[in-house]
Amino acid sequence: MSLLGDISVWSIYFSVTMVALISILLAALLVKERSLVYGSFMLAGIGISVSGLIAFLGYQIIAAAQLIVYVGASVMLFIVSLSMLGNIKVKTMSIYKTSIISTIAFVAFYFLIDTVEKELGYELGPTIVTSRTMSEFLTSEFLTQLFFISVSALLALISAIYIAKKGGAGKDE
Amino acid sequence: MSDLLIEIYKITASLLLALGLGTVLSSRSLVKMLIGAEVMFNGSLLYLALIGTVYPYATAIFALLAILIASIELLLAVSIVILYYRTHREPEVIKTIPEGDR
Repeated sequence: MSLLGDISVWSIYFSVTMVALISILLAALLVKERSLVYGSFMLAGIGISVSGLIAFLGYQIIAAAQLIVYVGASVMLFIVSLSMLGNIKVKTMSIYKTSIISTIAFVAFYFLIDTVEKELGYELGPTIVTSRTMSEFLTSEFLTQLFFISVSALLALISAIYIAKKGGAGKDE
Repeated sequence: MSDLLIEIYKITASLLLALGLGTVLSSRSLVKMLIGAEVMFNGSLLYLALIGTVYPYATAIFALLAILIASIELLLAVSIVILYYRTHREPEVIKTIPEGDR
């Protein structure tokens, strides 16, 4: 491999490690964060980092959907809604108990993921997903699922508007 | 992909799941629990993307549908939280945490 090739591989390693560290750091800060608005900003940061990690695996379309639909639309609406309620601060449990719970959960989840990976018996690696083939799959084999999810999304949005607008109207007056 | 990168992905996914669970359990606030659940969703999405590289197209479509469902769930949860806050004027489900648990 040429020198440029080596540099390119190490730059990918470095970038993946940095993005992973950012997401872990934001998730760790979120545990003790008392302000809900800052907490939702951290959630947006985690979403952006995870979309970067997914893009490095070769799913650029999924990363774009995560950025545009999830972070750009949903989490931003979440932040705006919380900001309108004011800077609400909540109580949190002691860091000692939370860290014990998180450590036990980390060990359990890591061994679960490790076991599943070993049981699969395949070589995992980056892949390439083209938009043309994906849209063909989505409109042929997964058309029913897409239809049901679209109808559910519409119903959920109507319910959300109804709950937020009508539900608390009597209490405010 | 080398084993080192796969390990980085596995550790990140596990830590996001664990810290999300810690966030859910650390507070009695509805919003904080919701944020923790969303962190867990991000960890599981990363895990799905890693494991699913064997069947890339099916995984990509599942991940896309999961992102759509998570977005809908977040929007619905926001409306419920706003309603709860408007009725109770209090973001926490239980007002005080017992002294020994702080």
